[in-house]
Amino acid sequence: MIRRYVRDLAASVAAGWDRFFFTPADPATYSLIRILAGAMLLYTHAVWTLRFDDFFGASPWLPVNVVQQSPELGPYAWSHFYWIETPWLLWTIHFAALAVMAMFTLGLFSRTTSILTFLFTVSYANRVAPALFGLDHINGLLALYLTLGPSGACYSLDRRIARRRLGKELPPVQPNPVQPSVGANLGIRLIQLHMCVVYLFAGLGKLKGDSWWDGTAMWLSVASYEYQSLDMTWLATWPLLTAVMTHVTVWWEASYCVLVWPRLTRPIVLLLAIPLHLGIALFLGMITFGLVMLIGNLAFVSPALVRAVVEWPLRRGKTAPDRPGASRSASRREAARSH
Amino acid sequence: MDPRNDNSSSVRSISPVTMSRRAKLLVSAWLVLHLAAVALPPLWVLSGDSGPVSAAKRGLSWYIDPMFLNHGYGFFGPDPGPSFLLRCELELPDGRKIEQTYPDLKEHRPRLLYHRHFMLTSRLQFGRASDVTTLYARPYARHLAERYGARHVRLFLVRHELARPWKVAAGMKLDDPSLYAPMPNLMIDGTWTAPLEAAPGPAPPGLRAPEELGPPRAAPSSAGRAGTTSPAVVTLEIVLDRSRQAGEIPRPPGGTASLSNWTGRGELVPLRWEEHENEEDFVFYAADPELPAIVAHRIGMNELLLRLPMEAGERLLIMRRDELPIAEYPENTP
Repeated sequence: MIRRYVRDLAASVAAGWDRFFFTPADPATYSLIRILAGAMLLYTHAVWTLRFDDFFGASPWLPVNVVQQSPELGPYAWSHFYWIETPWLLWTIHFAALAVMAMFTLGLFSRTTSILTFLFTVSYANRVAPALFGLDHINGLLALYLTLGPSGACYSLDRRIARRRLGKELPPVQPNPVQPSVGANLGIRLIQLHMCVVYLFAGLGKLKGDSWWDGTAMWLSVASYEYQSLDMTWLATWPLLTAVMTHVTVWWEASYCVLVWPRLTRPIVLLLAIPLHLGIALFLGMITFGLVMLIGNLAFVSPALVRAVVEWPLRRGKTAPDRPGASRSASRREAARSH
Repeated sequence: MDPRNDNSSSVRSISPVTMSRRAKLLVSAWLVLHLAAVALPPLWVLSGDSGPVSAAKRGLSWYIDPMFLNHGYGFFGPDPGPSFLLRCELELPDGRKIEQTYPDLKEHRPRLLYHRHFMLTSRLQFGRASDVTTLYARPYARHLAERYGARHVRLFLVRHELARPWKVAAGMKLDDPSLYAPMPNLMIDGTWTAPLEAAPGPAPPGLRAPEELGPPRAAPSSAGRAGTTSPAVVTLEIVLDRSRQAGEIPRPPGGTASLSNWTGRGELVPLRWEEHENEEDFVFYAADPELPAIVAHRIGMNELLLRLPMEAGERLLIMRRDELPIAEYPENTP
């Protein structure tokens, strides 16, 4: 009996694992994340251009040997900056990196540029590790997982080029279809799981602090003059409201990894992410961080819903570009079924 | 979970590409490794560097580090705390002074650039005169001196406390002056000293015996510094961290000597020494682990000469961590 239970359990786990990770998926969501994450990566690295010499030049804030001793980095951290010091070469590589990220955002040679984008992202991050914050960590995970699948399968120049090439072979009324991909599913699944880890430990870390228990943490956050971008001091007279916001935040983060999976609770969890991260973006001055967290949350949005929203303007005049014969009502039906 | 209800509710326009069983096994093995690598670093942070987690993380660092997974994700945790600002005073060769605060919302735009500088100053908050502070403060001072061409840099770490809500409700502003507290123990007063004229012959790596160094020389002008091409020797004053006891002073590997009987009064008054009267030479281990050990040679009853070999063209930051008024500092300099 025990043997049978163990056998059934193993078979069930194996089947679930297989279904979860290896079911081919429509790459629509994955491709949308490529555009948004690519744009964020491009912006993040383009901003370095403004103070490139201060951070990467001959006399930077953080010399390479100091960064390599910093507690943020492990012994196997790497960066091309560790080996290259020639200024003109560093500038050349910098503009090459920006060009790669722009191509990746647009979906040009996306399989290659995705890998290069990830390598550049890690390389820059390891050079200036003490100057990083949450934005860079999420940038890194998105860049990593976008290397796993065909992130340029939809909404990309690659797609447009392929359509043009296939268009000569196919009848004019039949656009080329999208191929469901295991790689896209794998990339999405790993973004989802990684986001769960991020929120779980963000929540558990907060539970070690007194202010997240006594309800004052939200006040302490908005009372930071250095973070503040909108004056929220009116909250000083609303202690009950700040306490509720504090508890909802920590509860939401700690429970995210559980409640984001069931169909019924997922919309609630994702909807709560919007005010939380937009709040961080608008009130605490971390626009990039707030947005990149929302991009990560996008991994939980079904491809059908992504298509319904993204392709809506395109369908107004013609048939959806990536879906042969897909009508608006069919798309809506599919979106409704997914949620 | 039923994949049809999830992201895989995809368009089956054409046949999907599937994986072979062998490929799935290989990918599954990688997934197990990767997911462990994702979870271990934040678990390590949360568990306070516990033994088994630490060992596991160390064992996987060959994967965690290159993949950029070494993060704790402790956003605003465990408690949102005060901010740390770096206030610097720069003295230019022509006597002009520049005062700057980092980060500066007006200067550091866009906001992302502001946060980069904010992270730099936030790194200085970890403990009193800790190794991390020492690690970062010195290159910060060096960068500022180079950037502005300053000959003297003073860095002050300022702690900006968070206003309590009842005080704000009573009219206090978040940037009320009473909320800013300079941290004297972390104050850094640095002078960029020019390397002296080239020492005869190539300088050997590491320390030279005090008797080889000869008497102290006058400091040259900054113009002479730029033209130095061979190894030079400069005098160095260094004040060791008074908050440490002798046994806590980090020692570089291979150190062969130490200060015995180091007392609570052990901070070194610049080039003056009132204890250990019977000893001639000392070896000091600086709080900055990057700094080599320093040989001190007694040249007078209450005076020590400290020498440090320097690379050609390298500038040296003189640091002090005592609480003496800054104005007295030049008077103590020989």
